Amino acid sequence: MTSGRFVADFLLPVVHGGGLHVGRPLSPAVVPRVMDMARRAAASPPSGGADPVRALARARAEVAARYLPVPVVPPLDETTVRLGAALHNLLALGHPDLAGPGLARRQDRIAAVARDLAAVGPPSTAAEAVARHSLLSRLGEILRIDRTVHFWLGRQTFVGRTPPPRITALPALRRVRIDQSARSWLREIGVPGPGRAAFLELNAASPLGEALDPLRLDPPPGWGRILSVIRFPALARVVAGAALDVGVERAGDALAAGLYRYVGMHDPPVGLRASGEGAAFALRFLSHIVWLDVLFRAQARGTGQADLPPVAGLELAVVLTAAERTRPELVWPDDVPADSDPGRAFRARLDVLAAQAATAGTHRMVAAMSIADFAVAPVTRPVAV
Amino acid sequence: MIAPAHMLHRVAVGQPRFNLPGLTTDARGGAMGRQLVARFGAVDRLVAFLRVLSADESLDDLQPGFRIVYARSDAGTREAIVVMPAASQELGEAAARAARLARGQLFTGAGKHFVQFRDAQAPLGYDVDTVTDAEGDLILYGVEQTVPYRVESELPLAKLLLRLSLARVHGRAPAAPEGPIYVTARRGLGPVIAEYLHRVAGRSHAAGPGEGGGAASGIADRSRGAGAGPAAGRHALGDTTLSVDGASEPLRASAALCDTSATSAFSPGATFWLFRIERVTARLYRLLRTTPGVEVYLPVTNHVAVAAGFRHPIHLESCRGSFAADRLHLFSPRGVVEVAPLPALAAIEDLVRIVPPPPERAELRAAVPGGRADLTVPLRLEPGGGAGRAVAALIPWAQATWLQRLVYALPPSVLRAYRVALLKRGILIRATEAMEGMPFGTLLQLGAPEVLIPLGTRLAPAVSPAILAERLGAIGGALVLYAELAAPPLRVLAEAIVPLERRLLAELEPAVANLEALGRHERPVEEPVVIENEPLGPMPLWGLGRP
Repeated sequence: MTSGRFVADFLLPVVHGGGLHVGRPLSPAVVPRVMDMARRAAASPPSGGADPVRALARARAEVAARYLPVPVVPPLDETTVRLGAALHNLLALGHPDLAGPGLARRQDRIAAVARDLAAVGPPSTAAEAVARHSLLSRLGEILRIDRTVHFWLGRQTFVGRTPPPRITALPALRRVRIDQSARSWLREIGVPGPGRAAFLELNAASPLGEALDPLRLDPPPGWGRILSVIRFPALARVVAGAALDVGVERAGDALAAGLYRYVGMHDPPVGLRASGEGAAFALRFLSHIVWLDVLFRAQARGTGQADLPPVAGLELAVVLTAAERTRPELVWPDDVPADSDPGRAFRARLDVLAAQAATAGTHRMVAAMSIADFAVAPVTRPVAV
Repeated sequence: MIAPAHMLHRVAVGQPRFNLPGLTTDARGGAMGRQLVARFGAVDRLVAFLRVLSADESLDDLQPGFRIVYARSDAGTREAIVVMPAASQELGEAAARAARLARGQLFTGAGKHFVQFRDAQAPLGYDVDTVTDAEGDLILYGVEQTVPYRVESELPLAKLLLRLSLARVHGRAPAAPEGPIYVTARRGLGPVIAEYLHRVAGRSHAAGPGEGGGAASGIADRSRGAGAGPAAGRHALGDTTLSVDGASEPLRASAALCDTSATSAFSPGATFWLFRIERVTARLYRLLRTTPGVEVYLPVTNHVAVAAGFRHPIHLESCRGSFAADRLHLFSPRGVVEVAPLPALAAIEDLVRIVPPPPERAELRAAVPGGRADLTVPLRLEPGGGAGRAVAALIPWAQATWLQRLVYALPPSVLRAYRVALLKRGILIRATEAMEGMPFGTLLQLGAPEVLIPLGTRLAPAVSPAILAERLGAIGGALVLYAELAAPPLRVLAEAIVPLERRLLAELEPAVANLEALGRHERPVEEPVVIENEPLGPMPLWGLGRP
């Protein structure tokens, strides 16, 4: 795939939509080639025709505008090319032409290159996080359409390909029927096993998508990656808003479950390492979501909680109750008095959460208190039950 | 097949007699028999012939004597043969032209001997040298060969007409038909449509000829009437004004509840509403065509109607005699529905729900001293009753997530057939026929029309279902629900019951509304990101390096 085609037929569709052309796996040598092309495109005056580099910049700027109030024009820099090439190679892992004997070996080679390409580390600024996310924001929307063409002499399956006209010619005479199924690459097809480490690196490099989708099943949300974006206040507000849209109970449960893995150091070694400050920040963020729900959502929502399963919010309740019992400052902000109206409303919610947490059992409360202890002091101390 | 011994020769000018029995001379001096026979190698060619012929000639004029038979030649080929009387020379010419267009052959003669019809090489027709004595029900003498046929079966024209599939009419559809239309609706939709049409007709009557300036001004909508002056020539009625060159008339509609005949003991016939609307506006026509559960038919004859947007392969107006006059045939892409006997259509104003008197008047009546004790008793829901058929289910909100998961597994037909109402007590799902595939919730049966009671219960006292439905208000599409034994009945209005698929889609709407409420711009519908795998070619990992 040439540099021009890589931008026009892959990077641009990833952002703007359309056919995402997946071809031969890309080597790291593609990065300087694309950078040269981008420099030449930037130096040349804008032409009347379609310029994929400028079109990509416009599309990414539109995505970035959803997350930051100040306009950000993400550049086509080396990081962008590396992340795009890594995604291309991850998609190439499922290419039907790779199937056959030796598939695992071929996938290992491709995945290793993809991991090297994706290993750019967490973003250092909010603008950089948004710029990276502007390229990968539609990762969960990538579809693969598999078509099976039935005709009078048999059938033929095309995985992620459009059947050639000769296969569908004379439909009435040859009794042509096409069965097609569209499946989500991320949710239904999944990343092949060899590419898992590369995909985690990709998420660590651009964690905003993971933070905005707390209900993702595989890989589950990891605080080591999420913390690298919610440490920026502007992005923390966006992530909290997304959690509220999903539902405090559902999102809180998923994020609280991730906190056990983070503090227990069971997350893959990608992203920020577990620390007491990180755990404390995560607890305060969970508390922040509940605060937002108490202040802005609960009254408007009324009692419409019946569509949630009975155990919804249990993990969140346990973790926050344990944090409040260990050190109230983990869930109470400094500038809100407990006897004010918001304070009383939050107190009532904490009481509800505590009653809910009581049904979870002692062992779960002990585990949750160890999280709070870790947040208060990096070394866990024994807890008397 | 008999070839060389029975050669044909061209009929000469003034030839007085013919060797083939039954051939006579027509007005132009050409050979013509009493009958015409058209031969086709396949049924599609036969249909094409009938289509072309029915466009020119009325097939009814060819009765009696018009037959379609399947015949087998002695060579083993099975062909479709049309036998028809040669009523006139013009008919012969038209049939020959149609047969040529349909890639068939036309013969003329009588009895069982038929010789090829005249063509460009023989303007006066053909005659045979000798008549063959071969066995067969039909012997066709052609220029190239003479073939005897044995008739195997006969296909009545009416049967063929009912079997053919409709073809979609391409191109831009007309805004609205000039004449009347038929509309079919699912049983539950009928009262709603009747009320709608009645409301429309009522608006048009209420506006009246005098309102808007003179009798010719017709109907004016209340909402827009001020803007539609008599000088405008056209008169707005919202969605129902009939404005045809300045002459407007109110909407007239009639309806009947029809039953289709059961195809077998295991599939009972369906019940549906049939409406006939005399003149329909473009907007109402468009609305009816796009409403799910409602189908629009355009009448072709008095007893035949074809679904709007489709046409029958054969011009049905020239086949009136093939359809019985005591039934109505509705041709749709899914097949033909025969309504027998002919539906007795009642005026729409006689069918709509009678609105109860306003509360003020009822209170006045209640204030009049009666002097007699009241005999009323409360209606109770009791355990018992036979095992009924579940037609609905009430799913508590705690199980709503189960339903959400189940929805992904339900086939499209079920999604379309189920209607749903969101109640405080739970989700009420009403099936059109029988409730199937719902493994949770409280299953409900019909205690009376549109009165739902749990399975294994009955209503007491056992008054007639019609009275029960009327007293409980289960009319006009509304449902009455007895959720459990001790619970009071709950009336679910027709507006609250929507198709399940519509409710599922409606759940998506708040997400957009919330975005607007937050002051963000609504995101345009983005093009999906679809993987297009390109061929990798040989050695796809060349230059990739090894880990």
